[in-house]
Amino acid sequence: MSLMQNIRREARFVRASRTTLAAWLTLAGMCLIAILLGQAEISRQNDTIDRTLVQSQLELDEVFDAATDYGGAAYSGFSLTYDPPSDAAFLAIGQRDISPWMLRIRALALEGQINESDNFNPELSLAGRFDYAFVVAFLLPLFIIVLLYDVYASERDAGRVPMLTATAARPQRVWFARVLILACGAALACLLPLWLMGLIFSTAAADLLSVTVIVLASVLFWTLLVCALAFGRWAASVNAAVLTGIWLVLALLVPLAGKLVIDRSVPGVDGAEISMLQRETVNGAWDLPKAATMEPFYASHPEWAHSAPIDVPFHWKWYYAFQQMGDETAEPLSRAYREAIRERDELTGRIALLSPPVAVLRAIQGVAETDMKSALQYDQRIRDYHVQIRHFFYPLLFEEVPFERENLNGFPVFSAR
Amino acid sequence: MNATLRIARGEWQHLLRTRLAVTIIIMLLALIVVAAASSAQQLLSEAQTREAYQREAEETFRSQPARHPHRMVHYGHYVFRTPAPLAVIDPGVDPFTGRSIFLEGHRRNTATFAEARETSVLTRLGVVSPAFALQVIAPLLLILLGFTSVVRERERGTMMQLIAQGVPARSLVLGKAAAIGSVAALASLPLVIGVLWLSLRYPAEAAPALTVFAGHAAYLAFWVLLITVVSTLARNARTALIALMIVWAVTTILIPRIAADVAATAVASQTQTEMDILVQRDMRVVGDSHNINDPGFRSFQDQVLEEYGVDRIEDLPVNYRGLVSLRGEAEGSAVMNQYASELHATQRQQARIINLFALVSPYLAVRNLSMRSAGTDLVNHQRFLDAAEEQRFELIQQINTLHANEVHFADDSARSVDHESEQRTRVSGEFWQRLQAFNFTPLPASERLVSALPLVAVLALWLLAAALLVKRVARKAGDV
Repeated sequence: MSLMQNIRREARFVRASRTTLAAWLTLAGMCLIAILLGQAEISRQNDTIDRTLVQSQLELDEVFDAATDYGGAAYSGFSLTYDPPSDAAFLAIGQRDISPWMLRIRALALEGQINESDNFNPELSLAGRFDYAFVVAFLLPLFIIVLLYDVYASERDAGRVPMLTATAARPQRVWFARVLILACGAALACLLPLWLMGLIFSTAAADLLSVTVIVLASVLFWTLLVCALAFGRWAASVNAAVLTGIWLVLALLVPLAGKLVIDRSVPGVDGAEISMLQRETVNGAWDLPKAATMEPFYASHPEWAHSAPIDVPFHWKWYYAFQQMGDETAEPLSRAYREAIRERDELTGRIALLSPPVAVLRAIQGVAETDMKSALQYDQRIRDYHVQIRHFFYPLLFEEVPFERENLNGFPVFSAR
Repeated sequence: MNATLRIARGEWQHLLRTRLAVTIIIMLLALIVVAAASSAQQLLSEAQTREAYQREAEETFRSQPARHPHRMVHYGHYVFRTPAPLAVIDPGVDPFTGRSIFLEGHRRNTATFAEARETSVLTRLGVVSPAFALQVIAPLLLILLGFTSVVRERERGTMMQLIAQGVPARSLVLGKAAAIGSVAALASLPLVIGVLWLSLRYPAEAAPALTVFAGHAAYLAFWVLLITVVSTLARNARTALIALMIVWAVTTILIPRIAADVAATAVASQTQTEMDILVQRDMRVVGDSHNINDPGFRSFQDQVLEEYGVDRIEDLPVNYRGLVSLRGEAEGSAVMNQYASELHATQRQQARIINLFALVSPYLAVRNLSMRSAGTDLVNHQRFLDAAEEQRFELIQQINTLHANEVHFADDSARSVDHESEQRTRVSGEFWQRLQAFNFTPLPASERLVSALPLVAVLALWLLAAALLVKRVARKAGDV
């Protein structure tokens, strides 16, 4: 009997099995719901960004129209930065329910602004979201266990093994065909909703392809793992128990242990130290002679060193100079803080080698650009934009250009990507 | 009774003979001990760090030199959230909420530096704590230990033998439940020790701690009974396991996430950025308190002049700029609090929706019961935000009062252009020493227990349902 014939026969067998069909359909249904819920969240975020962009611009125009000097305009003029979800973000909400994806900033010291959080409901974040990445990483393995744990034992216990293999030239082929069909069914249950919804949401083919590969890799890993046990001597119930135990270890216990290890090995910088240091530097400047701020500022910004000396107690250019110096003082700490986050993320990547579910989760979040790396990239884009804002105001302030509303027209616009 | 104990003893002997069972029992105990130890250690060091930062922030504020009062309004102050005592058992939402807030004039800032944003994605999969170990992992391990308990006897034909020997079917089922239950009791031993220790150390927390314990005990009892029921009803061992696994996966990992998504979809919430824009817009109507000529304060000026019976603000016995600051802060704070309380109401509504899902997931019942009793839930986080706002408003208004009373209007108006006037606007540093210490206490135990009460009822229903099922199947167990 050829392999194709085996497959055809097994396909008929599976069609007759209600449990198998129910498992496939449930998995497909979960994938579909996960995608729809993910898309609902992402389109909510997109709408919010669109709406807020308009409101923020209106507000900024109001501030600029009412301004009487550049310093005041820079002080009250908040502008919006945002991190638009990628096309594939609906597959994994990732960090987007704990890290802000919109932040309004102004020309003041950035370290006092960039760590502001959004007002996410922590009881929603606690559970995490029901997204496609979660289904594939955590539920798909359970489905494969349920589908395959007794693929051999059930026939053995029913005494049908001799009958099944008697007619086969190569008995392995019978089992191979059956496992192949069960596993492919699980894979398709995940992939069909993905492709269908991907087509409807016009997701990039490359992203769909990457996620497809991730799903197939996950199916392959768990199928091989389950088969390694399923064709052993053990009773079906023992197989199921051991496989559930393995799932528990790989999906929950390794990540928990990994977190303990990561927290121990990368203690990191306490964020509070950054903002307190920045505050001391900024506010300390008021009690120091102007030169204590202006000299180091001109040293790092020689292009403005020719600016007229300050002979009054308050001048905007001095004000923004010490804001800049506040950021520069806190820079090493702030860099170390971000570096620690990056390092923890890299270590998580290594933990993922021991935990396929974590690997799958990270991989899909990577495609969806909702991982820690993307959150850090957004952080960097905010920093770059802040530099632009500063450099927009510096010529106006340090050249002491007389105030004119038109001069604010060239105010830089945040570019999201 | 004797027969029940005999069955229980027999089941224990069976477990100890099975390699898989022994592995699972050891894994369970190790997990709980490690979770309890590392959670306690992390929390104590966290509490020390926060307290040290709080003291440092207070000392720094108190040691500020002579300054213009409005400088101090912008210098601001920091408050830190120290973990609730019972967070050792159940950290609840703590890893997802900011741990410090910068208090300054004109703004109600968000809580910054949440742990989940800084640590790896692994935080999203579970928190190393006794609560997580008992709520999520213990039931699965109990399933692995107990799914064969009754059905095994039937598959091997020993069931008939036992019944023929005069063992009542009831004793058979209850004995199996007692055996699995004793493993669960063993697993919750570290929790008992923790609860006793916390009750001695914080007597006020004794009642909530006891509730947390009772909640977990009831939850584990529910699982023990359910496992016995399913094992009694199932045709064979593997059906029992698959059925139990499905119940576990659906109630423990599926429904909580679906609940979160449903709550987020059903009740729309505003982002902080949108709120900030609305606040800024409303504040334009209130007026910019840095500018005493802002149209928003025109009627206020007339009112003040009339109250003091003078014609010009220069003739007032107090500094009009300080009065405007006081007024602006009061109105601004009212605007910001309005938005904040709307947001808090929205989030509580979302939390209530999640609470409703406790009716279909005993895990959600125990999880919410536990964090509400422990004072590590949303409500407590909002309480921290409100306490910080209260401290902020009091502090800023104290400073603004200094601004009105201790700084002369003429000096104040000239301070940006005249060095001598600027010097005279600085008030003595000893004023800053009046800063009140930030004292945040979690919601009183009684109020926490009231908020946990509906969940206690739901969990009790789950337990009752399982007990009734056991009673039903115990009668029928011998029929086969």
